[in-house]
Amino acid sequence: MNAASQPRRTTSSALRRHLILAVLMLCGAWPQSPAAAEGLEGRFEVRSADLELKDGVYHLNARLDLPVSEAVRRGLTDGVPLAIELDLDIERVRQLLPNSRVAELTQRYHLQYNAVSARYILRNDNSGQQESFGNIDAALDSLSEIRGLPVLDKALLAVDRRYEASVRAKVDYGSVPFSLRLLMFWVNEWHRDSDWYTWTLQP
Amino acid sequence: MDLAALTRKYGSTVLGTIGVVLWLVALYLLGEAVQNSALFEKWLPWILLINIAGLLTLFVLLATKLTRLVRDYRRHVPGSRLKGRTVAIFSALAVAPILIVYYFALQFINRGIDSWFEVEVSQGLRDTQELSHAAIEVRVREFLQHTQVVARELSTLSDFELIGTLDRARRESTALEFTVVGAQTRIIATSSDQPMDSLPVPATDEMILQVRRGRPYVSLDTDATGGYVIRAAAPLEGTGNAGARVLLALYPVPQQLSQLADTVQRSYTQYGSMVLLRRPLKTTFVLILSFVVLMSLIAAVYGAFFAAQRLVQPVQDLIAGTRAVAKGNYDTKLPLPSRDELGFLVTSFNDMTKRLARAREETRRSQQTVEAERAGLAVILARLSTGVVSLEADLIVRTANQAAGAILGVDLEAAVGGRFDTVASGSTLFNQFLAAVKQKLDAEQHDWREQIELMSDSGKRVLMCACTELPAEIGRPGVVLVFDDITTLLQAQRDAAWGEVARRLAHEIKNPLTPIQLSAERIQRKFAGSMNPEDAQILERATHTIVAQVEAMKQMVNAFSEYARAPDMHFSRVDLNQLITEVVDLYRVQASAAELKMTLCPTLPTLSADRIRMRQILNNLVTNSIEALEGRADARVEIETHVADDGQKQLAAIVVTDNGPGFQRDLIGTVFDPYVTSKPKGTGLGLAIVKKIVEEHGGRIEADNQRTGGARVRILLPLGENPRSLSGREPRKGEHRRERV
Repeated sequence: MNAASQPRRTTSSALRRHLILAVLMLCGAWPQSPAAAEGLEGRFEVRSADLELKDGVYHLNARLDLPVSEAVRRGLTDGVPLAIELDLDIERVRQLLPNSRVAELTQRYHLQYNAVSARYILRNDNSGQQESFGNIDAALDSLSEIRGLPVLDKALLAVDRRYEASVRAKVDYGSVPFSLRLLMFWVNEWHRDSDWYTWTLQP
Repeated sequence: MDLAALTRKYGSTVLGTIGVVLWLVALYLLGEAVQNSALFEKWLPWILLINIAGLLTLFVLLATKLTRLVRDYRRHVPGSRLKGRTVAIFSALAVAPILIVYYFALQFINRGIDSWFEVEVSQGLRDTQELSHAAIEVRVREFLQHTQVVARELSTLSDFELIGTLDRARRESTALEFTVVGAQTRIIATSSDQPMDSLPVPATDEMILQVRRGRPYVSLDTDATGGYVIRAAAPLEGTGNAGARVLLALYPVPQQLSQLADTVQRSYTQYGSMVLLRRPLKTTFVLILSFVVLMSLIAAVYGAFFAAQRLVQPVQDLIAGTRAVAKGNYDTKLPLPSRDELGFLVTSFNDMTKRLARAREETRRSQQTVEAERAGLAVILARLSTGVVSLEADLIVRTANQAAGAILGVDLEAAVGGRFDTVASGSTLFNQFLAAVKQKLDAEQHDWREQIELMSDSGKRVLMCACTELPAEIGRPGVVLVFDDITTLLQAQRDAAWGEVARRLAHEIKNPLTPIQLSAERIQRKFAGSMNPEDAQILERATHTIVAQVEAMKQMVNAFSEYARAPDMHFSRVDLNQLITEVVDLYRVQASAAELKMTLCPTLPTLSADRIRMRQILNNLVTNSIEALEGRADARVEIETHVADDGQKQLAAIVVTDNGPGFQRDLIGTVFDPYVTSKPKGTGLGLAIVKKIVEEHGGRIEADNQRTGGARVRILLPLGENPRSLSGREPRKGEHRRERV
């Protein structure tokens, strides 16, 4: 069902961020941000993804590599939220014309520590369902493992056509107000975008 | 104005305008971006770039200004010191408060933000969280115990019995929901206070795992609405499949407690997020503050430059204007900076330069007029045939014209500025003139008019000289000498007088000569026959003497007549060489005792002349020489022709020399005067007639003695032009011409 996967394109936001960094470094104004040791670290990517047909509905299974450091774990324990946004695109492949989009889905998850109950709450923002975990590892494992997320009815896909499915994830650490983000545009440790993970889908 | 000058003049203004426009664009983009996060991310690099470019532009402008100021200061450019001081004062006034504000703002940011996260606040929040947890924990334990009790009660029941009993047990407690699950979390029985609204809360893996391990499970959870619930699980023991069945219980948390817990949780979360922002927030504020302060500093210093420039520019203009005026540029006009005191100063300066320019223009015109008059005077002096020399009191030559030098035979124009008595010590003519003049000046005679006679190699020269004292108004004292060579004039006057004498003499004497001759001859014829031979012989001798003397007198009268006769010349092209040869051949035929030698120039061109009168010239000269050589054994007469040049035109020169006694020295100056002769039988008219004919041909004649002895006569005749126009004398009609050979 799923074919060989590859990163499809580098996001424009990453380019812009690199441009900002280049400008700041060019001017010698790049601040030695203390947040660099307190924010997201490491590589953030969609390690694997596929669509599983079950009862006439395609369900998404995906595995994410979260850039979670010890500092992020401490921050989560201190009440800082961690949000994941999952973007799924399904396009019909056309020979001469650009691909046509068949389905588009955005799924948001929210992980936060509840200090009163001393439990980690993982919430699906789309459905409102939530799950609590007694330790952070179980919560992070659950967050990085997307299982059986219904995304598309099989009837929407033609049998004799070829499709491409793409998944991308965004992670936000902390709930920085937009006005503060304006001021702290140069702090890039609170938000990451993964590359697109694309595979071919043959109904 | 070239590109470099335009760049210097308007470069800063253009850069500043571009910077302001870019900043306005950046502000607009920022205003649009803050309303839209996508736009913000898209435009942020450009906003950053514009701001950094603006900062760099300001920095470059400031660096340029500073460099220029330092350079001007080192080169001592006028106004640079004043400008430097003004910039320093303005900068200090602007920079000091900015730096103070910056310092206190930094302190405020550091301490202010730190104070938000004081240890007490953090600890208080933790304590609150602990307290909330402890308060709820008691209730949680109670619900767990209750769940365990119920589980024990239900453990003896079969699955079927459980359905009814479970509902009763829930009603007897405060639980929201009781559910019994079996293997694979299959629901065996459930009871809820809202059975129609929702499905039973599913058992989590964590819950089942813990219960399977024999430990009861209890947790405080949030529900989908954000409220708090207590979840508990306990195994139903005592059945055949022990541990396979688990009782799941859901208990409510009182609303007040739930709200308090929610508040605590929200504060905890917010505080955690704020702690995360703490250090970047400080850094951000410091960066923004530093950026703004830097911009303000640069703008303030640049503003100081601008203000200093506005203050110093009129002063610099005035200095430059003063220097320009000092160099003579009176057209300098300074731009009016304002209507303040500096403006008044500039206006006064402009008025002054305008007046200076007007005065200079008037002076220039006057000078031009004087120069023109002087040039005219110089031309007149140069063209004047009269010599003019002005001398200062110490005999320094102030001015001298060309004619003065020509008359005195020295280059007086080159002697201007030198002493008059040292001009040409070797010139006899000049020294005689100097002696005569100096004698007068030494005697303090400054206004006189006198005829001065000078002796030269070519004879006596007579100058009419007038001396006048220069007026005191023209500066240094001195005299002006005006003199003219009147030798020729006097000669002409003498010639004219002699002409008149000759004409009258011829007229008065010639008329009675013929009757005398006729009468003598008649007496001879009439009385010779009637007289005795002795008397007849006496009579014949007497009458012969009378006739001979009358004939001699006739010849003399004819000569006078010839001299006085006005020319009636017929010009034609004459080959002088050929004419000379003919004349000499004639004398050779007469077997003259003198040797006649000719040295003729073969390239001598023909000239326009009266052939008969030219022949007369040659006859007279050759006759004169031969007569002067009578009695000499080695008598020799040489006739030479050549082409001469007087600097203006070409001349044909005829030089007749002999080896006779030459002219008497005291007669050299008057040899061409009538009746001047050293010969016993000479009429004294030969050379006078020659001179007359030469002058009628526009030529001139010179006579002197050779160094080796013998006379030399040199005739110069113009070549290639009609000498009549030069002679200025027209022949009178009716006059006859004759050739005297």
